[in-house]
Order: sequence, then C-alpha cells, then structure tokens
Amino acid sequence: MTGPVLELRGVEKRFAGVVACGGISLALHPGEIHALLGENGAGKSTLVSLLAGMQTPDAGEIEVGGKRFAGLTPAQALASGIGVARQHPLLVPTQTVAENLLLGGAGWRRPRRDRAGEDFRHTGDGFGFTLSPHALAGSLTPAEQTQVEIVRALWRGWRVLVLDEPTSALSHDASARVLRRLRDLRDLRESGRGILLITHRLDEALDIAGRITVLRRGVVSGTLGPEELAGGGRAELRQMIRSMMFGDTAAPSPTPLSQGEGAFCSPSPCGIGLGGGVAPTLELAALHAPGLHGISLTIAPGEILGIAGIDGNGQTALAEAIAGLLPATSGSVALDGTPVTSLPAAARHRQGIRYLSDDRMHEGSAGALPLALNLLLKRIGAPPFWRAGVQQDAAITTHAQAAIDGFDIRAPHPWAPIATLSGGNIQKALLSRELDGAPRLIVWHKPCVGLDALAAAQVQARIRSAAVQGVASLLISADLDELFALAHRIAVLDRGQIAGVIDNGPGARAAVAALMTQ
Amino acid sequence: MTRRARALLPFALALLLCGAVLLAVGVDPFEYGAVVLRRGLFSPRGVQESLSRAAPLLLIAASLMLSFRAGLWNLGVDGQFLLAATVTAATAPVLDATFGRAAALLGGLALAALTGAAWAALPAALRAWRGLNEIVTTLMMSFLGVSLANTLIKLVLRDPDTTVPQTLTLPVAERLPRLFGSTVHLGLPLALGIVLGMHLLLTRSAIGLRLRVLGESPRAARHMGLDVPRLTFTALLGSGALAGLAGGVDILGVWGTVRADWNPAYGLMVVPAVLLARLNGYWAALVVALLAVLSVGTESAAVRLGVPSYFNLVFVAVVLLSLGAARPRRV
Repeated sequence: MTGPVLELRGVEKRFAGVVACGGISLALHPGEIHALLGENGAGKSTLVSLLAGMQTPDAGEIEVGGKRFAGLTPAQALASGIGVARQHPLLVPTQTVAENLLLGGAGWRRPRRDRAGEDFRHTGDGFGFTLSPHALAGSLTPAEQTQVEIVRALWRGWRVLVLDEPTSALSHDASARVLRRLRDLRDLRESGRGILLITHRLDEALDIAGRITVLRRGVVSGTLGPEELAGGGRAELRQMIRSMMFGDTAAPSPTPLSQGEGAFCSPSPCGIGLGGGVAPTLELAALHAPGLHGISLTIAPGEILGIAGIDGNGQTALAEAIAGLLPATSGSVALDGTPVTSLPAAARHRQGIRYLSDDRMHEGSAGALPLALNLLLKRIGAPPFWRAGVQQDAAITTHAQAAIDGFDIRAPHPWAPIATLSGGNIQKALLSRELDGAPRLIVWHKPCVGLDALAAAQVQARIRSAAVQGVASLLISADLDELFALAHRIAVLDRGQIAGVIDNGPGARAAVAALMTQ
Repeated sequence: MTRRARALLPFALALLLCGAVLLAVGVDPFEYGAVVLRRGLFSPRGVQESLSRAAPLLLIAASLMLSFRAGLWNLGVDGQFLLAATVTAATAPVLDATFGRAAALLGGLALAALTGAAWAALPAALRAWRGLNEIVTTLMMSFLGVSLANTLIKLVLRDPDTTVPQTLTLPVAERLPRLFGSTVHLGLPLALGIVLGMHLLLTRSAIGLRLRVLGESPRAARHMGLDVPRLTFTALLGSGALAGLAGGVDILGVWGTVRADWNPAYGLMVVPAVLLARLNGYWAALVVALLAVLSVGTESAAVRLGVPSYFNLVFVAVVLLSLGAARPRRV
C-alpha cells in the first residue's frame, strides 16, 4: 500500500494566544474521500487556510506528494496539487469566470481565456453546472461562485481536493452530485488522489466518506476508519459522531433550567412553557429579507431565546431585520403586539428594540470618538444631551460617569477615545448603551466573542439580569455552552430558516446537535 | 533635540530644499524670500491683498473640512468654484443694473452657492445611492466644470464690449463693501466666520457628530440608525455649496469678472493645508492665511524675478513631504 497523499503531523495554529488548531494529525489516503467534521470554532476553517497556504502553522508539518513543509505558501500549495474550494469564495469580482481560473498562472505567458472557458464548460458539465465562463464573477450568486471555486480547484491538475462546506452555498442535491461524480471518477485511486471534505452535516459525511475525522476545539476528538463505518448502523454512527463533535450529548446541560428558578424568570409569570398565557414581547411572522426565508418566532417577556447554527446561515440578517437595519421584503415584526416592520432603526431603538453588534470595534463603536459620545451614538440630538442641536458636555459627562460606575468600565477618562479601552471594557460600554433607558427586547449578537473568561462571565451576568427584569432577549451565539447556560429555548438557524426550536433542559444538547448536523 | 526643535525641523528642511532649487535655476533664494515676504506680508498693499486672497481660500477650507470630516473626498472644488464664479460674474451686473447693489451681492452669493451645490449633486448622489467612488467622480466633474465655465464665457456669457472673452464686469463701487478704507472686503470676515462656524458645527453639534460617525466608519453610522445615503448626499452638497460660495466671494469682492481660461485652482492649494491642520478650523485658518501670503508674494516675485508663481505649490509640497518624512514611524 502506498503512503498517504497528504499528511498533517501535530499542526498547531494560535491567534493572539487563542488555540485554533492544537496539534492536529491526520492522513488522507489515495482514492479516499475523507470527511472532516466539527462545529463552529473546531478549527476546520483554520485547517483549510493552512492547506491553501493562506496561513502558516506555528508548529508541526504538512507532507504532501512526498515533500515536507513547515508551512505552505499559496504558490507551494498550488504547485503541490492542493486545490481548495472555499466556503466563502475568493474570486475577483471584476473578472470573468474563465479569467478567475487563469489567476496565478505564469505572468509572462499569454492567458488562454478560450481554453480556460472550454475547460470550465467541460468540467462543469460533468457536475451539472450550467454557468457561462464569460460571466463576471461579481454577478454570480453564492452557489454559482462555489461552482467556480470547485472547478478552479480541479483545473490545475490536482492531487488533493479540499472542499470546504460545499453545502453551505450549494443545495444538498447539487453538492451530493458533485461528490458522487468525484468519487466515481475512475482514476481517483490509480492517480493517487484524495479528497478532504469539510462539513458539519453528518449525513453528507456518512453518505460519501470512506473515513471520518472529528475536530473539537482544535484537536482531533475521534476518527472512524472504513471498517468502523462499514460495520456500524447509521443511527449508532450518528450518535457516536455527535458525541465526538459536541462532547457527551447524553449528559444534561451544564446549568439545567427549572421553570420557577428566580435567576431565569422575572417574578411575574414569564410565560415560558405556559402555553402562551403571556403576550409575547417580540413576534416575527413569516419574515422574509435578503438571507432570511420565512422566519416565525416569538419571545416572551423575560425570556432568552438562543439562536444556534453554523455561522453564515442568516444570523446577521436576522439580527439586522429585527433591529430595523435590513428591510423586510415580506412578513412582519411586532413589538408588544404593535407592528414595527416599517419603522427605521432609530425609531425601533426608541421603542425599546436594542441590538448589540458582534463587531464592537468597527460597527458597535466609532473608535476615535470619546467613550462619552459613543454611549449616546444611538440617540444623537436627543435632550438633555443636545439642546437645539448643541452638545451639552456637562449632561453627557454625567451620563457617561453613571455608565462607568454602573458597569465598571475601566477608562482613563469619560472623554478618552473609546478605541483606547480594552475589548472587555468596550463591550461593557456597549452593554450599558443598549441597556440604557427602557429596553424591551435586546438582540445579543455573539456578546462574548473574543472576551476573556472573566469579562465573558460579567457580560453573561448582565444578560441574565436583564432577563430577570423582564427584557426579552434573542441571543445569537456560536458557542453552544453559552447558549445552554443562558437560553430558555434554542432555535437552530439553517440557511435562513428555523430548523427547529428546542426547550433547554435535559436532552436539549442532543436535540440541538441533531438539528445542527442535519 | 527638544520637541519644539523636532517640530520645526521639517520646515527648516523644506526651506533648505527650496533654496537649493532656486539656486539651481540661478535665483538668489534670500532675495526671493525677501520679495515674497515683503509683497505678501510686510507692505500695506501686500497685506491687504493677502487678506483678500484669504477669503476664498477660507471658504474652500470650510468646504473641505465638511467633506473630509464625513470621510468623503470632494476633490472637485476647483470646478465648483469656477463655475459658481462664472455664474455670479455673469448675473451680478445684471441684477445690479435691475435691482440694485444689495440684490446683486446677495443674489450673486446665493447663486454661487447653488451652482457649487448643483455641480456637486451628481457625484454626491452617485456616491450616496450607487456607491461610486467620489474621488474619481468629483475630480472628473471638476474638469468638466472648468471646461463648461470657459465654454459659457466664450459662447454665451461673453461681454460683447470687450476684446478678450470675459463676462460682464461688476463696477468696483458695486462690489462687496470694503473694510475701514482698505481694499480688504466684507468677504474676509464672512469667510472667517464660516470656517470657525464650521469648526464648531463639526465638533459641538448633533449634525457634526453624525458626520463624524460617518467619517469614522459608514458601518458604524448605519448601525447607529443614521440614514447614511442622505447624510453622504447632504455633506457633499454642502461642501459643493461652500466651494461655490468661495467663487462668488472672490468675484464679488476682488475681480468683478471672469476671463476665459482663468482658473486659480485654489482647491489644489487648500487640500494639503486642511489636512495639515488636521481638519481643525482654527489651525486651518492660520495655515490658509500663510498660504494666502505665499500665494500673493510668489505672484509678485514671479513678475520681479521670473520664478513662476507655481513655486508656492512647490514649497507647500516640499513642506508636506518633509513633514511626512519626519513623522514617527508607525508601529
């Protein structure tokens, strides 16, 4: 038996101290489709970047085609025959499909657009792609861009094909067709080629892969070889892989919720699981918007509804559609029974709809502006901070001082530029801005992302106490532990639709895991 | 080296380099410097001319501060200026003859502002609602504006009684009132007030804060619930109006007419000045005053010593480059 086509040995990658890959070893054998499974943050995307040469590992080595590399450059990755079809396509929008294929060729050679176009048609036909090679890449839909990525990855003569979440843009059928076609290529084995399929969809992996590796928090948490895959029943395998992906899903949630527990419900009946006895604070009815395809959900006063799902399935669109930043194409948003669908963001803010951005540096705050003004950026012009349009420094300072004291914001001065604060303190400032006044509903978009454990705990305590005071919350998070610790119910968002809603409690983890890996 | 010495170093370097250039073309740099300063600053006529020159430059500075603070690059001020100057020069004498001086002056200024705003409207709308890069569109519109102004003067607005193509002329007595018996006109205090007012508007008001958030990050502005396209459109339109007003003030205060092929290109001069002042109105006023002295002084020196008046732009450029070179390295 010949050796593996691609082998990773102890590959590590850290970003600012955070471990993305913590010593991953795996081997891709010739003729094999090897599926790499894992939830958000498991290290899949980092691994793809390392293979494409976009990132260099901090430690470990990559062996491909008999050559060992401490790290690949993009040119080395191409020369070694690693073709990568990315989840988020990297195409030049102003160039045609054919020209995008030609990128990276020798600079002194005349680009053969016609031949590239013909090759594209030929390869694409086999997959059922019907795209014109003369179309501008920027005019393509995400699914079409993924098709171009796949053809481009194959086009240069490949040894290793890396398909990163092809189903996130392609339909299930389309991606299954691509994978079957690749498997059936007669020479997959003889030519010593292998395919690495990165996915979070269990059945896709079970249908097609000859070997499965599961990543969890940057390390390999389990591997299933051909014998195990052939030997086990489907349900049994699913259960096994899920526990590798999410930890022990049979175990109860870390902080199980009980209905009467004071920490989670306001003293008044909060309506959760009470059969809708209390009018909901937020109600979305068949909401359609770019990226959202018919979302219906309700959140009761004091309830925290968690949104789980792989990134890029409509989380940002959902948050923005509720906040009033993304206009609905149809359907409705109602706050306390009153429709707000046609109101712009500022008016919704006044009515008590708040949105904490997941990008606190570039969206949630204006870095060069003082902390004191950043706390009021959603209320510019409002009295008593502005009178007849003129800024009232005394009132603004008093307001900022109250936020600094109340939220323990560590800042040199209320008028210091907010960018001079640490990430945790900026987040506290933004929390104080969204909790200011009389919030009715808050969309928390990844509130703890990038924070250290202490700062994250403080933020989570704020979310809980807001709920106790009767504020309805929509908590979008990529961190399942956070969702199970805070939310009363968890909805799984999948390609712009709600795949299901699970009550938090024993067994919720397994149910959410099942929805996420469908 | 003390901090102050460090701060002055780039200026010393610029003087040295410009002196070397003058020597190379056979001009005594000390004599040149003396002429520039005497004719721009240390003579009664020079200082009055410099102060009059400062008026349009200050208004352009206000125009650029408004645009740059909002993160928008209105590089079309020269076209907006010249077109507005031409419209004012063509209409003010008619208004004066029909309705009198007040109508000529107020109407001329209003028309100038409107013309500047109108010439900025297309790039502003394209930026606001179509996302087209305003750096390119305002610059292109500027070339069109300059050509259109020349075409209008030669074909439509030409004063039939003159040999050189130029617009009608507003009589000296009908122009903006002079201050205290000098040749300095009312446009100067008006422009100074507008620059300082713009500074206060941008730093102390609700609308100014909205523009600053936009300039800081359009994404943040959108997140805060601001109407980003409308804000973008308004800022560029306002910037165009002020550039147009500069043209009106220069015509109604100093020239009284626009000759074909006249293009002072003040915008090119003021852009670096405003950036040097870091968009601060007080500093901008000071830097612009120095520019006015330089610009008037070098014009005289051009006649006397044969060094083209563009040398003031060479000097400004060398100052900026040496300031850039002396900047502490970014870590």
